[in-house]
Amino acid sequence: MSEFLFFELKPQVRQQLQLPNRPIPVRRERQQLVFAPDGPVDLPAMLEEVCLFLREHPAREAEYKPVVAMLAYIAGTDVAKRGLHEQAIHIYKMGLAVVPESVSLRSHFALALHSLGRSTEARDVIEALMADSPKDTMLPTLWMILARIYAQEGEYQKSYKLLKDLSTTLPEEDGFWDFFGDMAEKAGVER
Amino acid sequence: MNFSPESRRNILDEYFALYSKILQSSYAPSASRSATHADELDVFQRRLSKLWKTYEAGLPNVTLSRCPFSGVSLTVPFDALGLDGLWWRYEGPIRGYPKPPPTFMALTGAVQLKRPVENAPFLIVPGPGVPFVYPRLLNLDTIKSVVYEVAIGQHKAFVIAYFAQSRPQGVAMPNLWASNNYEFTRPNGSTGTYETFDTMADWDFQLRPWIASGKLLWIAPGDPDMTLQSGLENCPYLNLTGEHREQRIYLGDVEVGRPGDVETDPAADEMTKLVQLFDRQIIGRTEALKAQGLEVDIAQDLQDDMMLLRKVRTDAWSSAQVSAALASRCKNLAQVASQVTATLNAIKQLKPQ
Repeated sequence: MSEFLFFELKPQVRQQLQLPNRPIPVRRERQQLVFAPDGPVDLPAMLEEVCLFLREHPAREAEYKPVVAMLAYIAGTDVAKRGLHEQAIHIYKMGLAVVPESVSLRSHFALALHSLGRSTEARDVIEALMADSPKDTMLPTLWMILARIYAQEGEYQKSYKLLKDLSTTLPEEDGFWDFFGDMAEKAGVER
Repeated sequence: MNFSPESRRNILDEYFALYSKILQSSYAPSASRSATHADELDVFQRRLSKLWKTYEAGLPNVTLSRCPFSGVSLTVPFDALGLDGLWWRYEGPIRGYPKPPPTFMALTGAVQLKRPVENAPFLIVPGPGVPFVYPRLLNLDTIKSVVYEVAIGQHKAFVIAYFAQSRPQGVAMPNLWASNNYEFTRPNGSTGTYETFDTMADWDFQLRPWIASGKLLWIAPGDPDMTLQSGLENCPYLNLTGEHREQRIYLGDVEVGRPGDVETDPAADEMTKLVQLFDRQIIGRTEALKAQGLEVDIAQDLQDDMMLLRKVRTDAWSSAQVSAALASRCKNLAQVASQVTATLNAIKQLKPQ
């Protein structure tokens, strides 16, 4: 068993990171790494600590789920913004191991996979997410990605159908309507 | 006895079916070949020969031109019922070839195709879509030509025949209309053939100077007397728009130009892009808005203009043909483009309640 210390985040840090009010477990020897004296909090390192803590104390998972979900989201999108999609995937996977139902984490996980050109995996994640979502739920960005993946795979009918549903949201981007028209043509839809 | 449209259809249908069977038999695996197979093929071949003889015998004599020197009409067996007739077969056409008038030199032509075109299992090369002349022939003092419009099934065709009082020495005549060779009759009555390799670069579509110089005469479409005319006024063959490249038809598909040629028509590209913009940005958004109960009206005249522009892709119209059609509606491409932009901007402002 590791020796964990529990850190209360300063209210403004907690607020800035939108983290629930919960002490953060960090191993004693990792304290300096997570809370660098002269730098910002290392969020991926903090997430690793929390996940390790939950592996050793699974009974406390429910209590820490919101923390993990938020940490994984913030840390993942932060590295993804810098183009570090492999690292983002690692972070999202850590988060999803604790909060597998998180729509936000699954969505960003799919985005990162897509960004790395891992289309088949991205498609599987998005399709599973759609299957688990209520019927009328629309996730425009993911649907667009899925439509593009279907187009790459030559599944024009599937792509067209997704875009047709998306068109009800009246996207403003000309690119959407070009893509939609292209798929309609390739799917042989009379307009 | 001339065939009727029905009997012609029957001949061709049976011919095409047999032709297909022979092809299939010819390509059958060698292991399956047998004496029975060979006998069957013989039966097919004999029937095919009989059919083309019936077709040849049924071809009606049609007057296609008149000699400006002798006044004698050029009347030949001709299939005006459709391009799927064996007369139109590029290789080995069935025409009968009676002895033409002595002043006849060459027969060429053009066909303005109307889609869909006939589906025949052989190559058809009917020429470009508008009439043209061979300057290399008309520049000779001794040769004159005559242009005349005839209908071939649903298509509008232009016969361009060349005549001379005596055959010029050392001048190769162009291949006969829609075929890959030139057939001629020797003074002793025997026939011979040769092939010429003219290209599209040898054609001149500017008929006005040739008519003005008296080298090209014309006969009004439908003129029962086939009167030769030489004036520019009222000449129906000037300023025609259409395909200037050689058209090739096979199994109902039309190709133009030479294989590998990259012919560009920037105006046609622009028209296609405008149609795409209209279909994708305007129609796409309109359908989505309508699905949400919003009334969206696109001006009928714009929809009609787009139908014309669409013909570049659907009917292989040239940009010149489309521009002419737009001009007849007192419009030009820039005006249509401007109307598309204005309509798109207006539609972008629409939001459902």
